[in-house]
Amino acid sequence: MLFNSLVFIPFITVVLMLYYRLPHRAQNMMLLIASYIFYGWWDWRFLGLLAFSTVLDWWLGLKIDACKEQRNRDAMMIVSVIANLGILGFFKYYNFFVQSFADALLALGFQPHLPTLNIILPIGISFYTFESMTYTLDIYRRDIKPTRSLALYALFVSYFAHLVAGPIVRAADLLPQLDRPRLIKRDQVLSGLWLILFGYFKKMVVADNLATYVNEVFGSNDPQTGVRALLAVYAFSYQIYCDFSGYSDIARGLAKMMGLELMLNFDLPYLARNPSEFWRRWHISLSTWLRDYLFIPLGGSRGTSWTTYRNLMITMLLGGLWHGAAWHFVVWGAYHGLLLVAHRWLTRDRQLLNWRFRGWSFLCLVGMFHLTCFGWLLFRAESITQVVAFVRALFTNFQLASTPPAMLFALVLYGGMLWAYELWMRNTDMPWTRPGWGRGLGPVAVTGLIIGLVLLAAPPGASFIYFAF
Amino acid sequence: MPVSISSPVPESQSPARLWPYWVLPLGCLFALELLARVVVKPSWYEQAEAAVRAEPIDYVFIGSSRVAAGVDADTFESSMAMHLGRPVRALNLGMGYSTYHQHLVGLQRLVDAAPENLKKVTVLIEAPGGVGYLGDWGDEWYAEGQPQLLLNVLRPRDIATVWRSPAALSQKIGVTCEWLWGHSILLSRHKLLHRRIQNYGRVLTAHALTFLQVAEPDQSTSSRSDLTTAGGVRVDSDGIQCARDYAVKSVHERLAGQRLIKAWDSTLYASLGAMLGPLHGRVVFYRVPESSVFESLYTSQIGRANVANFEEYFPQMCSIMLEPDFKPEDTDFPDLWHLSKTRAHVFTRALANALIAADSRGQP
Repeated sequence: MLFNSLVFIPFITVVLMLYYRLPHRAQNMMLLIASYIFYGWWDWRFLGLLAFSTVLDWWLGLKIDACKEQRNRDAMMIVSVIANLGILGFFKYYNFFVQSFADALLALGFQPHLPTLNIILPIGISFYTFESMTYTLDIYRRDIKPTRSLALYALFVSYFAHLVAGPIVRAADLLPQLDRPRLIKRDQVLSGLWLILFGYFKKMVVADNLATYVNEVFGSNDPQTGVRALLAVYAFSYQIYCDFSGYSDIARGLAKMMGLELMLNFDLPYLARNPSEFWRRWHISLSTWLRDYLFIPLGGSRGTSWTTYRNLMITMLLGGLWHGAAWHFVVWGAYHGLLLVAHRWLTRDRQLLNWRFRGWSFLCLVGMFHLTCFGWLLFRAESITQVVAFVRALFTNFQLASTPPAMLFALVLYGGMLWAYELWMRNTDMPWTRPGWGRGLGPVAVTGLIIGLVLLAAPPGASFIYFAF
Repeated sequence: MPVSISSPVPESQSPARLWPYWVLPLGCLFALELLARVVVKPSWYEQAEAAVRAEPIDYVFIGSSRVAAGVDADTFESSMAMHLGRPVRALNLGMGYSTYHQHLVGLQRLVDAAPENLKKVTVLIEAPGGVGYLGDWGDEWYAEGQPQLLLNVLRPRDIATVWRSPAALSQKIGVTCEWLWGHSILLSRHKLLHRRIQNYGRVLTAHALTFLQVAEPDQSTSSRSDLTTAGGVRVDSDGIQCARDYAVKSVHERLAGQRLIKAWDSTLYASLGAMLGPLHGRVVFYRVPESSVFESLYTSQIGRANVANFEEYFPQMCSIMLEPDFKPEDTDFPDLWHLSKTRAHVFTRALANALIAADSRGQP
């Protein structure tokens, strides 16, 4: 089941109707059942895996907290990490590593016959695995106490709003909210409705329409002209942003309507002026997870510059690998790691790059956007050959005169609408509260989104890009 | 205790009045709906109904976009008129992605509108590879992503027909929902409106780029090919390339899913025969030209069996199979699916001649 599939409409209608009528404990049980139905609609066979992962970490959480000796705590924590990463590794990375190993042996002149398996990748496994790990890790660090209620913990892991594509919620944030009765304010419901509407707009209007052009250009190794390649990369940068942030907005909106708050996952990332700022604005739930559970335990920036750079590279490499079992994701992660390292190095002397002249901030913004776009080329390209072809076309065969008008119009129309809404909404989920004429724009904004969805939405049922993660 | 949505607390940031938030969108949607009803003209069977009401129709072509592209109604009319010595009226209702469920419901609609103008009508149906299989009532009522074609022909009473058919429950529910949805032009024809907006935008952008001397005049949709746009055929270069790529892929998919057709009596053909009976109408099959890409569908073991079975079946139903004297080359099909306009005239004349010859021999 997807948020933009027709069956989701009756599903969420029934869920909300029951939710507003049930007492607290019954609400939680109903949400748990609904979440398993939501996940099982895709493939019921993987409910067992979800349940197993849930029960294992809940039990390990209790054990870790109960352990008095540090070495026992360490042992239990290691079991949790190995179990979680083992499950993730098997379903997501087994074939990747086997094939890569086989390719390496082949390159050395051997003829390996290593077995690969026809493994289905469970939807959302990367997300719920990381969420489960935050629970046991936070208990291990004594940041939180474990919950004795398996049902409550199971709901935390499987809550349908965030289950398949995030945000990656922390146990410390969501468990207390689930544990206490919710008092839903009108502000929250209206804010939730707004986020849901805007999320659907981003996904069904902006992302799905731009996807047509992206798939057309990336469907061939030869983009034909540099301008076509450039516009396709721009289109993909908006497509992936709207696809992913749209889903996050819908997830947050649904949660708000139930009196729950999920963390903000995107904060106008294309307004970032440097790589560090970009990762404070893009997929915030993942970047903070990587920071708190990987970068900082590795030593963070506490050591020498070189150890900081090493830690950054390891974090970003693994962050790239998290996105998918393919080398181009690793390359993308490495690329962003290099950007972060370069930024650190260039700004180690605080005077460097701290120039003050008119337009410097805007230049940084444009520059960072294009650096990000190159990363998206690495992310989206089918092969390194395609990356090379795109770059070559960009620099040797630009041909501005052959600008494809359809693609340019789509970028201007959908990109323009997106920016207008994003800037109006910046820093708030209730933009109608802005003083002055911003307040009066509320009805106009809602009208624009609804008409946009009615006239411009692509056919329903298209998967979100991040469903493969 | 049930959750309550509390009344605004003093620090509420909700808008004081919510009515603009639903009145304005509804008002704009209503205005757009009225505009859409002006902009979107009747098409396909809606348009054909007006034609049938106006004058007698002698020949009706039904089928896919191959029919829309391959048969030129004007050429057919003039060929038959010359032979019969009287004016002849033909309708070409071929449509891309259409199903025979839609054609049957649409034909019934025409018959109900003006039965007197359809007396002795001949319904010509394409038989690719020599197999004129119309499908069963249990099959899909509309191709994936194309419910608007069904909405074009469906009337309220036809919903009962859908529910009585052996189609899957999900299909019945889907059709009913689409029909309810389809009362709004904005919703049922939103793909058409979407495409038009994109086309207008493309043309506007192209003019702007030309005006700014950034780009040359837009050539992307100019038809360098000899294809018709009838039946939804794409004539832009990107569309033609997509169609060519899909032709090869489609053959592989269809070969993998090919099945032996046994129960011809339960196909839609029987229903069509029952419809035409009171009108003293008839069904005529004809071999529609195809590119060599599709040959393998009829030379496979199952394909050959289906051809042989059909050859046995259609005479029992008092139909005839026309074999127009027309030898196509792959170059006659710019996108590998549809006959070019030039060759369509030739094929249509050959088809008319084949029908004339069959009628002269006294075949049913």
